[in-house]
Amino acid sequence: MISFEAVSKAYRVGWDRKTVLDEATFSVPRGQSMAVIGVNGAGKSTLLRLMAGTSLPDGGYIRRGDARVSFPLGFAGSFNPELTGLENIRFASRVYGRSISKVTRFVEDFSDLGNHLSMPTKTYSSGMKARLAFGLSMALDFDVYLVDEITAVGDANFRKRCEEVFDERRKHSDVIMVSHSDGTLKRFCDTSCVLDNGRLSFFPTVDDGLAAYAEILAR
Amino acid sequence: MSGTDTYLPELRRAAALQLRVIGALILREMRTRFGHSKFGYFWALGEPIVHIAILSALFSFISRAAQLGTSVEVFFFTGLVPLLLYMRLTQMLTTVIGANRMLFTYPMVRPIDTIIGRVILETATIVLSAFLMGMAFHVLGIPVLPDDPLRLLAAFGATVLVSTGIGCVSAAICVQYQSWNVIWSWIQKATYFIAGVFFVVDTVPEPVRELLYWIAITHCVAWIRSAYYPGYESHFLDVRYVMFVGIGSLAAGLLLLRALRYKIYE
Repeated sequence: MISFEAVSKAYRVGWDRKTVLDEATFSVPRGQSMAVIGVNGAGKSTLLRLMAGTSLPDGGYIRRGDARVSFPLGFAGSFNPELTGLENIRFASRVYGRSISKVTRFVEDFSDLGNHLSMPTKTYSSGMKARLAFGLSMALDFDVYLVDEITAVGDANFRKRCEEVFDERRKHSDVIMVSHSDGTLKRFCDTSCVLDNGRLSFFPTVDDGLAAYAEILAR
Repeated sequence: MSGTDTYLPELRRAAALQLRVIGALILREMRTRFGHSKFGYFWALGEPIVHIAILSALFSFISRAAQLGTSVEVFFFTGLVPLLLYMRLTQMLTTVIGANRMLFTYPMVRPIDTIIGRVILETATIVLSAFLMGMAFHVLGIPVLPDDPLRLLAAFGATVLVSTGIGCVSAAICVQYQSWNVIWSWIQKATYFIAGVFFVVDTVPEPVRELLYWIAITHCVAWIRSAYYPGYESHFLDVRYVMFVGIGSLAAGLLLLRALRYKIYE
C-alpha cells in the first residue's frame, strides 16, 4: 500500500509553476494495478517518481509500508553510462541486497543482450537500455512496479516476452503504469486515475478513466 | 516498551541498509574513477609516491637540505600526505552530487551516502599509500617513525575532518553553481603552494604568515609535522582554529546540502 497524506508537488516551467498535486490524500491498495492517465506535462512521471521516493514532495508525507516499490522504469534509465551492463546489475543487486549471481543470470536470460552486457551502457540503444532496465527490475522482484511508457520500446518479440513475464509477475506484484497506449493500459491495469491540473481522480476501471480523459481533451 | 521493541530492529535494518549502500558505492567508485583498467586503482595509490619522488629528486638536484629532520623525502612525505588528502577529498566532494545524481533513481541511495563513500575511499587510499611509502622508507634505511604517534593520529583525524567539512561546503556551492568546480580547481592550485609543504610555516615572515593563518590545511601540515619531528613545535599551529573550521564547515556544508535537496533531486 502506497499512501499519500496531504502531498503537494509543483515543478517550474520557466517562470511558471506547474502544480502536479495539491494537498492530495489517497492510497493505492495492494492487489490491483492502476493506470495513470493525463495530458503531456500533467506530471504523470513526477507522480511515479514521488511514489518511488526519487522525487521529494514539497509538502506532506508519502508512506510505502513494507511494500518493495521499484524504481520508475522508463526511458531515462538509472544506469551509469560509464559502467557496463553487468556492473550496473551488480550495483543494483548490492543496494537492494539481492544475490548478484541470481540477478545476473535472470537478466542475462531475459534481456538477450549477450556480449553487450560487458560493454558500457552508453553504447546501448534506447531499446537495449529498456531491456536491461526491465530485466533488472523483474530480477529484483518488487511488490509494486512503477512503469513509465517502457513497454512501448523494443521490437514485437521483446514486447511479447515482457508481457509474458509481466503476467506471471502480476500474480503477486502490482503495476502502476503510465502509457499513451490505451491497449497497454487495458491489458495490464484494473483501475485508473486521471491527473489534471493538480487534481487526481480515481476510477474503478481503466475505461472509466479513459472516458474522463476524453472529456478533458474535448474541453 | 513496545516502542523500543519496534524501533530497535528498525534502526538496525536502516543501519544495515546504509552500510550496504555505502559499500556498493565504494565498489562502483573504484570501478568508474580509477578507470576500467586493472591498474587504475594502483595509479591512485602510486600517485602520491611518484609525487614525492619527483619533488625529492628536484630538491636534491638544486641541493636544498630538508628544513626539518635529515631527509628531504620524509619532509615532503609529512607535508604531501595531508595536502594530497585535502586536495583529493575536497575535489571529489565538490563533484559528488553531479557525479552520482543518476544513482538517486535508486531511492535508498541518498546524497549523504555518496559523501560518506567518497570520504572513506579517499582516506583509505591515502592511508594505504602512506603506509606503503613508510615501508619503502624503512627498507631504504630512512628513519620514518613519528615522534608522537597518538598526536599524529589526532592531526590526521583533524585533516580528514577539515577536508570533509570544506568539501561539503564546496559540494553545496557546486549544486547551486555548476561552474564552481572549475573555480575550486584554481583555488586548489594556489593551495598547493601555500599549504606549507615546501617550507616550514614558522619561518615565513610576519605579514605573509598572518595571511596563511586563515588556511586550515596549513595548520594541519604544521600539526602533522609537530607530531612527527621531535623538537619541532609549531608556534603557528592553532588547534582550536582547525577544529572550529572543521566542525563549522561540516555543519554548514550539511545544512546547505539539506537546504538544496530539491535541487539535488531535480
